[in-house]
Amino acid sequence: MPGEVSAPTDVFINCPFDRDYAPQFEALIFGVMACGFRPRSARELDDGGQTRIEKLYGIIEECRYGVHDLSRTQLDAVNDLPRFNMPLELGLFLGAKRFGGDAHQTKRALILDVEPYRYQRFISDLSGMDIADHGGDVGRTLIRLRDWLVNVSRRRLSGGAVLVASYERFLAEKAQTALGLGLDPEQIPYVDFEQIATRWLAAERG
Amino acid sequence: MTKSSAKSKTAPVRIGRSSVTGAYILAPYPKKGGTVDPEKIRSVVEAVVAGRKA
Repeated sequence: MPGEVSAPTDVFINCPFDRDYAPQFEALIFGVMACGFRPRSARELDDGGQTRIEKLYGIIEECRYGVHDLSRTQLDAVNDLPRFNMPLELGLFLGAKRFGGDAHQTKRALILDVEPYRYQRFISDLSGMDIADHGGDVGRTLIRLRDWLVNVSRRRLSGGAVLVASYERFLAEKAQTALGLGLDPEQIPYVDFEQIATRWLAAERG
Repeated sequence: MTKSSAKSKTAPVRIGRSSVTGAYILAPYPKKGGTVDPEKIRSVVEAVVAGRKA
């Protein structure tokens, strides 16, 4: 039975969680918040009573927007296999939009990859959809995110360069904040990071 | 849990407005976890930002 989208403010962040991707992951979380939305991620799932896929169904059901980064579709050094969680969750998101009834037809997806046309070699069924490339660059990732959110939400927001400059100020003060809280600046728990970012954005005003 | 109580728990809450983007900043979606009291985070962040502005 089709579910309900909880709020047009929630953005599903479907991306890798490895250490190399962490700077882009944190930038996406910050960017979503700075643009006035709420990030949702599998990182928030700590309820042992549900399977992981059931939890993902719940998050995808509740989010109008989804950011899907396919840049880890590559062979890893340990197993010589690609990571398929991101394409799977993109498929769930597109399936919800297509088959979820009226409440889910407003879903919108931003699909990111390192190069603009690389996806055609591993997921050619997406041909015809707009794929945004970030080249592994944090600044470009933020600008892609901001431009997409403006487009799909029709909100008036400051330009991408302003957002990138703000994020650089945040990074400088994030480390100082983490140390003040007794946290390792390189390993801030996800829930704490969200609190730090939102409070910083609110305090930055004025 | 009724639908209305579930909605009130997860409804977006504005905590300020960003001078960077002009958007209202929303409190994070309520979730478990975290190692530090959110109020302590708020006070430390505000002190760090105020220190830079001073």
